[in-house]
Amino acid sequence: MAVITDRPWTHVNQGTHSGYYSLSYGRQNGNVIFSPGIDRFILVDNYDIWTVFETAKLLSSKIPCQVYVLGADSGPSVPAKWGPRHQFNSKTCIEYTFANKSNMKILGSSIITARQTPLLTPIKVPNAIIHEGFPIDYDNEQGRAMIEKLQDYARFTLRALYAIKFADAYNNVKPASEMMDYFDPNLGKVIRNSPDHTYSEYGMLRTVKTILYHADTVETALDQIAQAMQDAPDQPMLRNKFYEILGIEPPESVANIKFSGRASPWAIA
Amino acid sequence: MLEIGERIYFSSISYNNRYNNYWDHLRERVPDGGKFAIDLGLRINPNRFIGRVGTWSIPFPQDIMPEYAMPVYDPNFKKTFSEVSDEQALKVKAGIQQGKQYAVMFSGGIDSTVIMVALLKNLTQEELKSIVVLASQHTIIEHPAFWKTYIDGKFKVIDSITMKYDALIALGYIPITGDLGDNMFGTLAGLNLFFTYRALVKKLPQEKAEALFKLKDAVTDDNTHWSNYTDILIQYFQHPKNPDFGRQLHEKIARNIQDAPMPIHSLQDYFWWEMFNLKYTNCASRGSIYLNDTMNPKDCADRTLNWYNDADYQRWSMVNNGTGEKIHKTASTYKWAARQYIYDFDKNDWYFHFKLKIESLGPGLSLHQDLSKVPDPKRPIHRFGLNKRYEIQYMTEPSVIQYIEHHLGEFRVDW
Repeated sequence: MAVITDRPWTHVNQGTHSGYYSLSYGRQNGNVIFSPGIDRFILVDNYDIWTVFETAKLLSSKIPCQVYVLGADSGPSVPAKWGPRHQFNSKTCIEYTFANKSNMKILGSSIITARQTPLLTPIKVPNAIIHEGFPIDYDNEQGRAMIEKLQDYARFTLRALYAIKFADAYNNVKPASEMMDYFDPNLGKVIRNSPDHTYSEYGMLRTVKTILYHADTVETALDQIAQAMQDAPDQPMLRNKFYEILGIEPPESVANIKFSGRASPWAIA
Repeated sequence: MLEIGERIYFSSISYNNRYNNYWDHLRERVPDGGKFAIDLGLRINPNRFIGRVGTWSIPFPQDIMPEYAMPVYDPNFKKTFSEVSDEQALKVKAGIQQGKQYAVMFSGGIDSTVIMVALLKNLTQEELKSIVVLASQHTIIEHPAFWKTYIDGKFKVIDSITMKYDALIALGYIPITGDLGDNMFGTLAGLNLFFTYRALVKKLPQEKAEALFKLKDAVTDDNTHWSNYTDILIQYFQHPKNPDFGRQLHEKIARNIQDAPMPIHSLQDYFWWEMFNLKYTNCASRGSIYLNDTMNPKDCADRTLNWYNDADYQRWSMVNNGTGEKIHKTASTYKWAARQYIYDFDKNDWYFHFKLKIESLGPGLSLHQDLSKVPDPKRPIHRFGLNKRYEIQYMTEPSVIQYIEHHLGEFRVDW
């Protein structure tokens, strides 16, 4: 058995992993999605790198991209007096790129050709980000509309992921299927595997992610999510929390959902 | 078995881990030309460069395989990419009517999606039953919308992870590969240079850097000649062990370009020519050499449909430099004509605007290679070349090693 005298995890605020949590060192908008094809950043976030990473994976059905955690002094170094238009944020990131992409490789291949799916990399180089302007191949009416559609869908996916993850975490009292992954896979043939408490076939978390991966537009995704909510009629708290975090009123079809009539735990207890 | 001086059809100096030390040690024993050839193997791994036309000296006495010769340049060629693709599908249609069955090697990338679109457009539902699709998990996630709409449940699917060319042929199929798609449009080397341009410029003296920085957005511009980029090309090709390598490689390519039958203007054209002339033989033949363990590579190639190894595709490619059909300005428009062809069929604006070329044969090669029936000395990692009887030559054979060392020892920088 391994004998470990120094137990580094005892020092909970230390460790290399802290470099992956940008707010821990005061970096604003430090969780980012970069599109090598557009050669610009398409999304920034302040809160949770893992949700950003998952957002990039869901976006991979539409665009290959990479995820980075920016260092405290990665830039762009723009004086604050220049105002918000010149700061690196959700609106302006489409005009920024990395100054040096020579060593951005995956197994020896440049990130521009390496993968459809993202990897996550911390950037610790000072002034790594520069202002380059709007991407030239999209600087036309059709291109600008497509960039707008992309960024809108990316932001929507991020927000919807936050929403369904929190809604699930608040409400899912039957997450046993997660733990079933750590048991004999054949157990599922004997004991029914319920992904959550909603009666939906694959669980609401997976259902919403599936919709986000395949949907063509925000509107299509919202319609399909509303339908999924109707398929799980006995969970008002889940859908209320989802739409609350998403930031929109539930559509009428969701607001009018009626209970299925199944016996709830409270009815039986 | 190879004899010193014997003419061959294919050679490979490949840094494939197994032979890295061999090449490194041999490099110390050979003159400048041999060093250059080995360095090219490391810098643009592997070194399988051979000039289909023009001056291009290589260490080994090597001929062009007749089936991969470049067609005559026709400046009046008028067919569109779409027309050529549709015509290619009609050849498959004719084959099916003769009772043939085909297996499309579908990666989800642009080249193989063009093949699928061409077949879906031009074949009847009944004829499509003679098509099977080779795919993997990576295929599905590279083009999920196409998979869901056009393939899943509509074609018989074979797991490409376990299938090589010879296995498909043994099952009675004619494999269809899009392996030459890049050669029609340009090269990853070009895309990588465009992508890292700013950092490369910064390594140059200030005066040159300032001049080249102004040309940053002109790499595909027909009015900006590639020779303006000489300093950045040399910088880009630089080799860690050989300070002369960048200049040597650039000058060698530049010399070869002088013999090109069509105008080569922009930096994009420069890299297209490298791919179209110098890498064509490799891209055309590597499947039948490395993804085939049981058949003579010639037999394998003859029983495979190499979709883009077609005179009209090549003629289209030769008259479409600087027309915007290959690329506009950046990687997101690379293979524009092919994107347009796919979009006209599936109307998927995400794929049209944002798809990137992903290396399906690169480091991510997803193939479960069952080599249990292939004796170690004959495995793909040992394959060096082809003699003129199309027999594979292995680096496990002493005569092949003698051949390599003799000819690398004789090779000189002569350009």
